[in-house]
Amino acid sequence: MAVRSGPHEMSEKGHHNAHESSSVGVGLVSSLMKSWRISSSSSSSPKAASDPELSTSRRSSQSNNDNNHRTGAISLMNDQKFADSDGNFDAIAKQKTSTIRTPSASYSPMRYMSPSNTNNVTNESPRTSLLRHNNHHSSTHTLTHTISNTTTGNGREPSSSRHHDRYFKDLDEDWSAVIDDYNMPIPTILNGGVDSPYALSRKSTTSSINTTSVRSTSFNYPQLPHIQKVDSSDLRSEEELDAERNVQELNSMIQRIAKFDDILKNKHIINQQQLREISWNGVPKIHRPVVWKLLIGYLPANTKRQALFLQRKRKEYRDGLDHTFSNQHSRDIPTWHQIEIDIPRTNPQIPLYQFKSVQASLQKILYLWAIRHPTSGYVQGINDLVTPFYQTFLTEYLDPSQVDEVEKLDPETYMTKEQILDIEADTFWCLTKLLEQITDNYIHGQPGILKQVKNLSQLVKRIDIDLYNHFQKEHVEFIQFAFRWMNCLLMREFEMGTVIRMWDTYLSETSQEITSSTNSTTPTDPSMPPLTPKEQSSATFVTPTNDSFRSPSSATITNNMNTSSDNSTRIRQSSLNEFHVFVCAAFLIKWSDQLMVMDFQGIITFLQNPPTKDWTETDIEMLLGEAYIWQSLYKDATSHWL
Amino acid sequence: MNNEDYGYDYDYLFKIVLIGDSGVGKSNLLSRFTTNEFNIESKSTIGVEFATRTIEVEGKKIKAQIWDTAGQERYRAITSAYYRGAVGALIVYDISKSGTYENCNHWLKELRDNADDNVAVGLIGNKSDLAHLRAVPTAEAKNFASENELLFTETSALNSENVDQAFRELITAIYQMVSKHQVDLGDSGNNAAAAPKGPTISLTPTPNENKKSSSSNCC
Ligand SMILES: Nc1nc2c(ncn2[C@@H]2O[C@H](COP(=O)(O)OP(=O)(O)O)[C@@H](O)[C@H]2O)c(=O)[nH]1
Ligand SMILES: [Mg+2]
Repeated sequence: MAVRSGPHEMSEKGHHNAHESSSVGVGLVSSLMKSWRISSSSSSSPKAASDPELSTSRRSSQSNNDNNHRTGAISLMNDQKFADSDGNFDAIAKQKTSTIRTPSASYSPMRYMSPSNTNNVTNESPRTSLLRHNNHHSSTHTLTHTISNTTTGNGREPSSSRHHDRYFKDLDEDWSAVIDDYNMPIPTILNGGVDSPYALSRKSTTSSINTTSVRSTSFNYPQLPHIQKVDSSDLRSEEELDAERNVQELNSMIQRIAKFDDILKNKHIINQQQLREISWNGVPKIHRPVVWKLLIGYLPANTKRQALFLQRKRKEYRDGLDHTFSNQHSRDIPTWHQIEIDIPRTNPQIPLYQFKSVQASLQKILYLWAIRHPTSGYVQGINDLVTPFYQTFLTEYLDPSQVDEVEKLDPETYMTKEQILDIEADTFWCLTKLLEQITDNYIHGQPGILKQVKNLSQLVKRIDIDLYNHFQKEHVEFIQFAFRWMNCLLMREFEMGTVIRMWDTYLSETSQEITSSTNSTTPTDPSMPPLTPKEQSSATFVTPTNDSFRSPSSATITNNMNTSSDNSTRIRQSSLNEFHVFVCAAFLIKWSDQLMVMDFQGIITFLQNPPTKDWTETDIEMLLGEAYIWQSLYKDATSHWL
Repeated sequence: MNNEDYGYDYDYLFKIVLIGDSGVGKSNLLSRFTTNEFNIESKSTIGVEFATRTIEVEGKKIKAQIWDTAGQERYRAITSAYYRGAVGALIVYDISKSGTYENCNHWLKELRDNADDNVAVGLIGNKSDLAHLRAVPTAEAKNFASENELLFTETSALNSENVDQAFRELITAIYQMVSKHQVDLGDSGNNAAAAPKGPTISLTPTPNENKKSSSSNCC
């Protein structure tokens, strides 16, 4: 991973300087090609060669290299043409960066789609208009068809488009299958809920092009939520269909629980990759507390070490509290005060957050986090981000029958003081992990947010140019509505239940790359068995010693943080942050029809308070699925993102 | 501007910004004025939000478009962009928290640095219902206001005391300034005097400004 990013970063810098002149194209491309070759050859490190699996992947990526060389050449010609016609050379040249990058062995198989997409994206208007003139359920379906059409019709590069065809055909069949389900008898579970036939076929398809990519989870595209619209020509009654749907939902829930049990129970080492793949599509309530802690990289994948690890981290948190609230430590009054103002304004609509014990817990967690992260400190909105963790971890202490009551019960009535401290600790560490991934959002000037907003506007410009132009005409600036989307990860836009479902996916998008960069930069502790990457990440999770905990200046902590983030920030940005921008784009474009007929005030007022009150998990899954598709289609657009 | 596209139901449109420390009640003043609502526990404002209300001043329909900003230091770099185009501002403090009053100087400076020179400004001491907790004497604030040529009102978003009045005074002051300005300007080419219908006071950047800002590279 580090190997890949090094040379590319350099070439991208050169690229930025060069993009003013449109004639620079050829030289630029060849220099990028060169830099890619460097990265490609250096990726065949001794380590990779010794690993049979890795060398297989190299072989497969090698064959793809050839394809990509050719594709690169073709799109070079295209680019020159486009550069002349609309002068937007900047964006196009950057697409190519990703075209050439694609073969890198560490890249996700998903990226194999990029080459032909490079051709597709330039004629985006038909798809865009198709999308906008359909409601959001059917538009997704239209999208699939459009994708498969464009891909098959676009046979410039035979070998690589074979991959695409297979992918998209598979996808397409899958989706129509889901839709057809409603007109078919209820499927019964014959295999004891092991794996649905769709999932099986999907897996077997992917395995042929699947490499050892750390991020191969991304190939596990979202299982699409069932479409709730009933075909009017259907003869059966609403109730019948409802009943069928309920049975179906129940069946699939049982299946999912069994799958999670299979991954989590009686395992020495939990397969993190499997867990990510399956969690992307939602985690059953009963598994969520443990799964989230694993996904975020808090809980070690080595189950034998978990108990001891939790014990240590929970003690560390308590020591931190003891120290912070002892007399020798002077209180940071402005920070304390700001948190104090925000606690009563946190999820005011949910009774749970009105209980004094909960407010006290959150105050402690946020304050401790703030003083331990002085470069960021407490920023409004972090108070929102802490709550899904807290609320989810509470459910672990509730009787399964009461899990749905978590928003109404005072934790003091069902937990001991000790347990409450434990849950605070878990929440604190998971919040720390999450914020590590989005540090730039909260440091001075919030550069991370500004970048994401900019990326969003560029993305919308490409996906939905009409909407983009309309915003321009109305003088709507993206920052005016999207700032909050980035600052609170869209939490303000949805109800808590929906947010939690969304986080199943978001947490599945976190930290894998951090893991790999950690692996490549830190020598593995020889005393420990080589475990899954995640396990190593947990093991190398740097926590301040008691001494640094005590140092009031926290200078050492800051230093630690900065050095450890320098290597991985760039890579880190590309997972959760990048996906989030696509979710925001999908969210915005969902309202495109309505927004197109609104003026400035209408638009801002609408986006300030979008009609999502009734959104169900299905709606959010649809949104995440759309974002996923956009991400795979516009992967190249992100190559210049930071 | 394309006045024909939208049937304007107002003669003037004023952009007004609310500023002041976190928790002084800006969001509630806004909701009280625009929708007559008060939320004991509303969520903290992230980024900016706005709401509008149209009132009549001297026979003219004036649409006030009021922008609410977050008060935290961290956000100031970003919110400064929102001063652009504002013709009025209310600096809000909490009469029960002297710190929020002391910061008004800072807010005034930030406003002067970021907004147009002749923006009309009002000082608001909110939460007047908390008389038993008063920490800022009315006379002192009044003094500060007149020294700096600010309008001054004590309000309560909770019981709506003086809320309408505070906004109304500011809007009237803006209107008077604008109409005087128009007279001064004569028909110097601006469509303000010539076409009284539609947004006389622009709240958004002109297309040129917009182009400039959007083409600047972020990376
Ligand atoms: N007693 C009282 N409380 C108020 C008043 N206005 C706002 N509040 C409370 O002060 C807190 C912060 O208000 P908010 O409008 O969110 O402040 P902002 O951060 O300036 O937007 C909330 O708990 C409000 O209920 C008021 O006039 N009187
Ligand atoms: Mg507010």
